[in-house]
Amino acid sequence: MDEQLIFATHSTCTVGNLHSSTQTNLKQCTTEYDNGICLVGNKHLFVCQAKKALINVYDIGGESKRESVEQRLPLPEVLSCLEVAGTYDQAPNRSLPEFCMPHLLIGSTPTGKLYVWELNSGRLLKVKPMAHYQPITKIKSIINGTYIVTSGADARVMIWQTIDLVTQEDPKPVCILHDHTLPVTDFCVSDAHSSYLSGKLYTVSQDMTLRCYELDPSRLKNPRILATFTFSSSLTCIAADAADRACYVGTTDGVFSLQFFYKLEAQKVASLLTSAESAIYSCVESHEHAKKNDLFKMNQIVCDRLTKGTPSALASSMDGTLLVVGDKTGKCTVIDVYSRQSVKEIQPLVSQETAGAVTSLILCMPMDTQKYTGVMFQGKNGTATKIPNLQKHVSGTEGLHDIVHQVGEPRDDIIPVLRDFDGFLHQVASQEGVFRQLGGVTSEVRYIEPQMAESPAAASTYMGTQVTSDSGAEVDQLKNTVSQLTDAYQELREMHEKLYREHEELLEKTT
Amino acid sequence: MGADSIPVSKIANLLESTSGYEFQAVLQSLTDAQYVNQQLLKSELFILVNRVLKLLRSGDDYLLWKGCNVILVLCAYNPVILCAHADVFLKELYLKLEKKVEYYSSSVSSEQGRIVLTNLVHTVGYLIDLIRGKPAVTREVLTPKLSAIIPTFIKLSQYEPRLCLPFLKKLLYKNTNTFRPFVNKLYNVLVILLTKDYQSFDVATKRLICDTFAYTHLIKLNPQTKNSSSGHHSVRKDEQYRHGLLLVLSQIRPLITLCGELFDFSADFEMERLVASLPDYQGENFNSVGFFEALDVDMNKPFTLWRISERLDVLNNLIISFCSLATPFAIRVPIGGISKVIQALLNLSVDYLPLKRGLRRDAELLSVIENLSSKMQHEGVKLFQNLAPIYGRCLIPFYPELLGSLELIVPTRKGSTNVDFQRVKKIRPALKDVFELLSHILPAMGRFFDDGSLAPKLVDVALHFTKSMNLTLSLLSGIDQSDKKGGSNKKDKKSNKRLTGSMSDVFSHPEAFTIENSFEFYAFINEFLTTMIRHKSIPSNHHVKITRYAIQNATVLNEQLNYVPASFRDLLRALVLCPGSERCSILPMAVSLLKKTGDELYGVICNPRLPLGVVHSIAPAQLPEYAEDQSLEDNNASSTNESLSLEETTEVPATEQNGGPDATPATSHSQCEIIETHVETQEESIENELSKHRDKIFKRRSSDADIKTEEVSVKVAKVARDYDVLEEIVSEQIDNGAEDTIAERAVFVEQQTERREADGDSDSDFEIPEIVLEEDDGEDEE
Repeated sequence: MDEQLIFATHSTCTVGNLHSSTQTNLKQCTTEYDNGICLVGNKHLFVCQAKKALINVYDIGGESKRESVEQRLPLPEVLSCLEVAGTYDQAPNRSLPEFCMPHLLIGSTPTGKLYVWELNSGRLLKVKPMAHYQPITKIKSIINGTYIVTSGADARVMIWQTIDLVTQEDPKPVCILHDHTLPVTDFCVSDAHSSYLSGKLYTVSQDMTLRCYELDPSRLKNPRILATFTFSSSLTCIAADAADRACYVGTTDGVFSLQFFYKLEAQKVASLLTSAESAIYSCVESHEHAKKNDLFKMNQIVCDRLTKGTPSALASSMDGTLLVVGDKTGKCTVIDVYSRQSVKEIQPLVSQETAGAVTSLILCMPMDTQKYTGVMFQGKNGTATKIPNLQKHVSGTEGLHDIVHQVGEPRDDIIPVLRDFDGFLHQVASQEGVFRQLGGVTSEVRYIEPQMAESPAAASTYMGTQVTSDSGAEVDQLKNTVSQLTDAYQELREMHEKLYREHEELLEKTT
Repeated sequence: MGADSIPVSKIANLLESTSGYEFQAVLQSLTDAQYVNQQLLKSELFILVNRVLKLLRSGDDYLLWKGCNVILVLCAYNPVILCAHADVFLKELYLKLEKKVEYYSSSVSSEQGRIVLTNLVHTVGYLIDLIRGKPAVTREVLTPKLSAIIPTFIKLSQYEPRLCLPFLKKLLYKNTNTFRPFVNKLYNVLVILLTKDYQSFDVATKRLICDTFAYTHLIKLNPQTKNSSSGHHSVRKDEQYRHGLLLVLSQIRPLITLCGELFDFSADFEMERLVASLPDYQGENFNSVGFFEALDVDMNKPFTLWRISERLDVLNNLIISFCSLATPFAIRVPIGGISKVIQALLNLSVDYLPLKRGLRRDAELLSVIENLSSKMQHEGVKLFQNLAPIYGRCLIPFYPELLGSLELIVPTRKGSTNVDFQRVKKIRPALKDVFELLSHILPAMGRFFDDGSLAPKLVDVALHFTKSMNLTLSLLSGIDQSDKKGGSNKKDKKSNKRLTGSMSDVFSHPEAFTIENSFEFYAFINEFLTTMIRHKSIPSNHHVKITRYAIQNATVLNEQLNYVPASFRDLLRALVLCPGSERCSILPMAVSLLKKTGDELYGVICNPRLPLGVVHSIAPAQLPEYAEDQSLEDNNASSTNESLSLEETTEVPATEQNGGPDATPATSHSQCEIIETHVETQEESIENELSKHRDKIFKRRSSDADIKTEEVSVKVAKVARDYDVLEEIVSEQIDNGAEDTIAERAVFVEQQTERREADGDSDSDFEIPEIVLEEDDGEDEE
């Protein structure tokens, strides 16, 4: 399956594919700050517009995808970074409905303010002023939206608990990392984690260091720094391998590959992130005469340069073999990380010479369009529900607090004979048992045709085995009984009437 | 038709006479895909269909039953028959069903009659399901017939709701427009079922009634009562549905207000505020028509108070149905209103709310009120529990209030915050639902969320529930107390003797009256405790309690069963991975307990090793530069190359394992650990040679080619060509007399491949040359 590549520059936003050549340029899309776009669900793309308090919503998935703006969401002020937290609550054994929104939309302003909206209702749940003292450079939700990580130009990285952001009057971060000395430009969190807070956090800064922290719930208040890597130039962006084997660091001198399982000479491998004490490594570019063992003894690590130039955004592919490098000229280069060769280049379809630097880069699996090609689905396309407008004032939890929600259809809606034929046969067997075991004692009402009733022979033939041959005699006998009883009743009645008359006469005489 | 399948004509002849195993075999054979043949339609299949119709038309119940089953199998597995004959099948089945429904009482007077009726309904319902979604058949067959079938189903649903409502529910959802003329009729039937016979149905039927009732609100009821002044306003699609939901929701308010006659709400300001904020639909100028009659409750007859919780049960189920059903459009759900209802129900606690002044304080009334309070709290938990999987994250803003109220369900001793374990037993089902609810919502809350003392209290209760329950305990303690008093006269003693004489088993074998917890219950409790350990910071003493419980019970069960049940395995894993603030790990104990079966997690923790191909295989620095405009095809080549290099690194984990006692956990090293590996350097040199010649091999292709479609074929070609080139290199190098280990490697690879081909693996299209590292390792060492 192909991976979808979405990247925004200062004046464009492009949706392309990693392997095939399909490419779409979204209309009326300008971004000013880094990380100002986010994918909402797997269908909508939210883009913070440059110099406007506005989010443009684009439909980029499924059958109804379009280049033009789907919806515009006005904002209280200009936003710089965007992120969604918390996936759609998928009920068990249900398919995804047409309208499925993540829980929260989190945006930051250039002044370091944090906005939290509820996407299902558009309610502004929280505004956290001065979350960072300087502009927030990136927001990322982790562990399925349970925690939010923010980095800022104030050289700090903060970890917030989402529920605190939503419920507390004045939310405080659960952890503040302030080891960097200059603005933190980018960070990434390892995808290899448990269902609770765990994994690693990599931060890069203009202070030319990459720091790796261990996310451990028991030590989150005072997180352990596993290693610090120093480079010879300031760092701009970072992307980690999906399996935490390596990370790719963008510097002003190019992109470097940093292997955490570091190969030494004489067939030795060093694991750089498993030391008990925090180690500091100096990263140097690889060259022919580099003696890895000697350098390693001096805490120096040889890193391969994957590409030159100044990258502004990085993303690693799902299989970890390709790296997408967005640069200052506005183009994205796909690099094979093993051979370090450039596989392809994707440039925005613009008439200008340059579209500006790549500000945001997203690699994701595209929506499966095959299931939406059926006749039945096409009818529903026109009935898409609009995303609720984002409120400009903080509202509490009073009132009915309406949310727009849709539950998906059950997935196992298959008739039993198709779902489990053996089970169906068992049911057939058990039902047949009732017919066979109780077959001789069935009682049922039969409507005999008049001509059949007249001829007992015909009636007996019609009624099959349940009517015996002597039924005619039985009917005659019953008729006789009925006539006898009728006669007896008439006699009794006459006697009763006679006695009653006598009684009345007696009463008249006495009065 | 294929030679293997039975001729259709033979099956057709068999149909009437067959029975038992033979009939099942006939049904099985009818599923054969070879009968899906349009050539057979006018000949053999026509005969078969006629025979099936004959079965249907015969007056015999058994033959009719057989006909239904054959139709179901035929239409499900044979699209040709479905499209060609569904019309006539549906017509015949409907006629039979109509007759059965008309004479319902005589139809179900016998067991056979009931089965035939069930089968007819199922066959008609499933046939509709099979036809639905096929546009032409739907248009020509289904839609015209539905207007006749739906009233029959509605009529039957009065007597057989379990049988008919699943199909009516689906028809309401999928054929909403066709259903429109009949919705009022169904609504009236459902209202009767809800108000009169509701409590006499099983849980599944109750759910069906509520679901279907909710779906009737997809269609506007009583469309003639349209307000002409609002005609020009655009109406949202979910208006009617939301109207129904709000109507039901607002009916809870009077019930809770009625509870105000029992409890003194004025003693708790928060409760008063909560009751005032409950959804009140009439307050929003909507024309609400309640279908429930006024409750008849009499304080002098305390048991009539249970009618409050009975009504609440119906309303709760209706809310759950409205909120959890799939809808064709997005709906507006008043999640705040629902949250308020849950809170109000949970707050009705006898521990925190005083009884109303002037209330008659007799034992009967007090016990009924206490019982009613716990029932209403349980209803609140059920509502929360059912909505949490669907609206879990949307409920997050309300979690602090909801969890605060949830704490009130745990009974406490008077004047303290300690759990009253005597009363806890009475509300065991409610607490079980609380555990299930928390297992679901805890992961989304985060570890540092402060929920007061709820978590420790519930851990105590959960651990208390894991103890076996002795039914005679209260009896024995009663006897003890009476013995201690010692003032009983002879008569009492005699009567006691009489009692003990007949009840000797109670005293001599009290263990026979002990109820042991089932494995399901243990699993249930363990799931809750595991979630607590993983996702919550709990106090150290509670952590120790859970650890002790897990180890003790796992040990006992291990002795009894010879294995540790899965739920205990999970709990032990959680305790190992999340030790909390404990300094010592239970890892050795967990490993000892699971040494018979083993456990992957402990295997990895105790013997750390890298998984397959975890080390990136980057080509050496002298790798030649590639042309920048390399086509997409080259990417494939690199992925092939990668697959080779991944094979090379497979030795890494194996080597570490072979390290034996020297292979200590990586985490225990003080300095960056240097792990010995046997990654072949010569392999890389071969790769280099390969890559040098790659530009000769790969032809440029158009870059816009879609890789997905050609991926497989390209890979096949690449590997084959790689191998050819490898042979070329080898022959060149040998001819030139260049001493190079690559030549040796290549020859070796060739030999390996030849050997594999000789072994009979030549069936496959291509073979990736297998590179064996061990021999070269030896050479290197030499």
